Amino acid sequence: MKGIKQTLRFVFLVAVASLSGCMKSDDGKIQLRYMAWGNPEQLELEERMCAKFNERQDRVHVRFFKVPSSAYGNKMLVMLASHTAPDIMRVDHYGFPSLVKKDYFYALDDLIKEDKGFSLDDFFKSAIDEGRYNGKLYGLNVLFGGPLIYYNKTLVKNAGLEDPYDLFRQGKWTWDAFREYAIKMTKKGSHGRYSQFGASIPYMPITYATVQVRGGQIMDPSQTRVMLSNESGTETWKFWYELRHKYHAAPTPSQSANSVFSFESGKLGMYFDFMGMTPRYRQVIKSFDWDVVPMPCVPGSKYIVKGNQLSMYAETKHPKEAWEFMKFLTSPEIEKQLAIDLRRTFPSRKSIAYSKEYLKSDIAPRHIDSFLYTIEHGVPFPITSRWNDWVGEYNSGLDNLMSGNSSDVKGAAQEAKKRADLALSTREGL
Amino acid sequence: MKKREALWGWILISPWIIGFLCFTAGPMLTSLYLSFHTYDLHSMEFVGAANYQRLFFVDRIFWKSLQVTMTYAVLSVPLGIAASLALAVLLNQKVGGLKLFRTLFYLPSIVPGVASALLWQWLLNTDNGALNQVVEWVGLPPVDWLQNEKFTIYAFVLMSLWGAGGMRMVIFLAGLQGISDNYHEAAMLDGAGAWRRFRSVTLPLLSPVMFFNVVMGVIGSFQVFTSAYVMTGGGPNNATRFYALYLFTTAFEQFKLGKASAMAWVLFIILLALTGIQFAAGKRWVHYEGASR
Amino acid sequence: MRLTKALVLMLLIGFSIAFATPLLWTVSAAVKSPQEFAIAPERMIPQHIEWGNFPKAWTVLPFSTFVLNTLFLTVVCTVGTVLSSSLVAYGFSRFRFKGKDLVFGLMLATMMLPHQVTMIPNFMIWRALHAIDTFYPLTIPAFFSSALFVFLLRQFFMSVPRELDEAAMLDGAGYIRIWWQILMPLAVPAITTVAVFSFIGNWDSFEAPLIYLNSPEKYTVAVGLRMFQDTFGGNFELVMAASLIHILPTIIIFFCAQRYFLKGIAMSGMGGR
Repeated sequence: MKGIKQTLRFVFLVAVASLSGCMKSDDGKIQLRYMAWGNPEQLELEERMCAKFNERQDRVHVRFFKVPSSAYGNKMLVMLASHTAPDIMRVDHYGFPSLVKKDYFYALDDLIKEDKGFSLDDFFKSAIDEGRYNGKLYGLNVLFGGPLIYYNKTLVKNAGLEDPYDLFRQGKWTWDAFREYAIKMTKKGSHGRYSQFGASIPYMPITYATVQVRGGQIMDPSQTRVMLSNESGTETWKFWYELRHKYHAAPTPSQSANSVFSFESGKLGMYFDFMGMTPRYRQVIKSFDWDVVPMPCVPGSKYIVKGNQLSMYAETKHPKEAWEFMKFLTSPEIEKQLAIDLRRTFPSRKSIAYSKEYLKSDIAPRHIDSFLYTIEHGVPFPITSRWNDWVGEYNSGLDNLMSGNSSDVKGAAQEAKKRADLALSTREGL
Repeated sequence: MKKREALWGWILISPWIIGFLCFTAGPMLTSLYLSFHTYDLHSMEFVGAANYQRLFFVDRIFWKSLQVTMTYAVLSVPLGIAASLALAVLLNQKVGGLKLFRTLFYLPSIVPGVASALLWQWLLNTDNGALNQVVEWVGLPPVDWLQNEKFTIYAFVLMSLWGAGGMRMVIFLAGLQGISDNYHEAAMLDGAGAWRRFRSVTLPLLSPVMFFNVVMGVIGSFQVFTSAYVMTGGGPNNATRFYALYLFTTAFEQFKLGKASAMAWVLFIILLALTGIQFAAGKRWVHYEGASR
Repeated sequence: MRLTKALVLMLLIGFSIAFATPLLWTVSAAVKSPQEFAIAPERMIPQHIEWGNFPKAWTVLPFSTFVLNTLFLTVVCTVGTVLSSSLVAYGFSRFRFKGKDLVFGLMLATMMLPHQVTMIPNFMIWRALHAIDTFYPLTIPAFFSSALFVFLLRQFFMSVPRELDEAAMLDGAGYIRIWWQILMPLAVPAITTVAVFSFIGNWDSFEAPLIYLNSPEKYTVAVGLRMFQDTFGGNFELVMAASLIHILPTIIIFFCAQRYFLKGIAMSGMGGR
């Protein structure tokens, strides 16, 4: 009896306490929420940017809202669809086309027109084009860039190889050279186990980019059919299959489980990723030298570029204030600070990207022009609202090949294409 | 007086009835309705039986997930029941320290799902996981438990056996303890040996409990979610795409809520059918005490 | 059937070791330094015990918040289920009315219903009520009783002699008073059983919070642990330390209330009879 009453009282108190905890002390400022994801380093930076913005504002307060990366896309969709989305959010471009179609984002054109001090001219055109839909602009591009190769300079030197970047400058950085480097940097330790791998197979969809730089295509121009299994595509899958299962120069999924051969561990020679990894690597890599080099690219082919969209929720109550914050995050001042002072990201603004201060770096990565080169010779990823529908299907078709359970490259490529085409030909939503 | 009693009866059970209508019956009908539409939290469209048609005739992963789940059920339910029964029989002996043993057997099954998945991910690690150390000690090459699609299902069955000392064992134990010694004594007088007595006295008397455990075990197999979600995410090559996981990803990652509702109804029908079959088959082997045969 | 004592003991000990090993491995992994983890993972007993893993795991993500959230949810749900289930059980065990058996049968049948059938529409209901990313979807259903708990409590109430209620009724007590002052105090063991079940179930709950909670400051320990794996998956010693944080409370509760817990399970199994 007594026990029950006491428990009830306790529950009541907890409930009251938690409810009152939800009610923020209202200092009369307009509260905005900004949502983004990233590794711990990126998140810390975003937090600092918010703080900086808040310092200068006496009317507006921005609160930073973190969601774990793996659930980010799903959670964002739920929030957008259930009227609880933050005012401003960073949207990975993979998901942008399918969301913008549903009118979840605020068209920025009028805000830009009214804002005399703002111009889109300084931004990379391909970056801005990504945020357009039906002739209107729904996102300001941030963290723009293309995938390239991070390499462990120390391992390259130990293997007695020339620096890949020098090779690239001499025009000798080919996929054959890449393979040779990968093989030569692979080492076995005691017990016959591999202690070091020359390269890791890029994660999807960067592998798609490797199809393109080897002369292939990802989709046909109408963006309705997958071209990844054409000749160059199949050649590429063969290349990766052999690198892993014939030359054993790249770790299998089980060998690389639990990030044993991550780039930062120092046990991996070459690693593919976007430019956003630099801050993390700069912070955690202490025991070796590293740098970046563009992927090998056959003449006439293009790199792939992709960004994130900084977008405003269509249902925000404070579009003007939210715009102020978006403008702040993409302002020359912040871009300069991020790209030049902190050497964090690749800038979306040309004035910064081409500035001498940016291109000359005293700390790794020193070959900043690799970023620029990739963007200058890049075309956007062919991402449509069906992207997520077919990519998973295509990849699953390659699973058995890539895990080494099958060696039939052609069969796998055809199977993958069949699955992806089927997914694309199905009406959306089924 | 009688009327008043009836009224009060209804009032008292009304929380369940309201909850049933709002959170079970209503939603069930809604999900049936949804299963004939496409819906992505934005727009809804009637598509007839297209969701079902695609599931049965086009969707490879749907069949794969059924196959994975069934294989898992066929392996884990009998093995699990045998293990639980064996443990219960051991705990029903007259030796010291039974309480301690029972607690030790039981502990694994109260480990929360996410923690247990993370723990097993570590135990099943190819390079230095505990299990592979045993494997290598025996002289076999290390096994890619969670990366090779040939082994993943066994990894999950093994993991389920870790919980054999849980609820199921306790139910068996209670069943065993409910068997009066008279039966055994009578059988002993007839000259039956230990195994004979177990087979012809204990098992038949336990059959209702056994039946309960089989039914719940099969239903449980179709609910495997957390471990697969956390440990493998359904991979490699969908080898751990358990039905509940596929349904969840369809609903809350791809937001194909119509298709997911169709899957939920298919699941419902499957479980209904399986349970029905078990009940029909159960008539042959389940003996209820005191029931005439 | 009695096996020889020595054999039984050996088997019991063998199984105990098999069952305990994974947990011991976790503990051992959780107190290893990252260096030792990388070099000599096969050692069961660490060379050097790194207690620092626990505070580190606790603070890199806001585990205090996760624990408070989970405690709040668990307590509210437990109280809600106990109260509502005991009321319903009281109705089923003490009152005669037409259709009672039918409703009771229906209720037992819902225990076999896969929750997936109702998962999506329930999500839509809460979305329509603008309750996504709040605790409401996780707590309110608890106040509508749970079939299993109703069943358990009903079994118990049936074993309480009716004469007690009748005597109270002669003293002028109403139905609610009989429930609260006669049946509930007598049912403390059964209620403890249900409360412990509910506590462990809610502490463990993963799928529902995963669906309904978006903001990290509202996460429960289970979802937070998943986020931990997501962010710090490479630091296995920290993941193991964080897992132990999740495991510990259930073990404590289990040890404190083992008796009730096991009895409750045995009772629910008797439903098959």
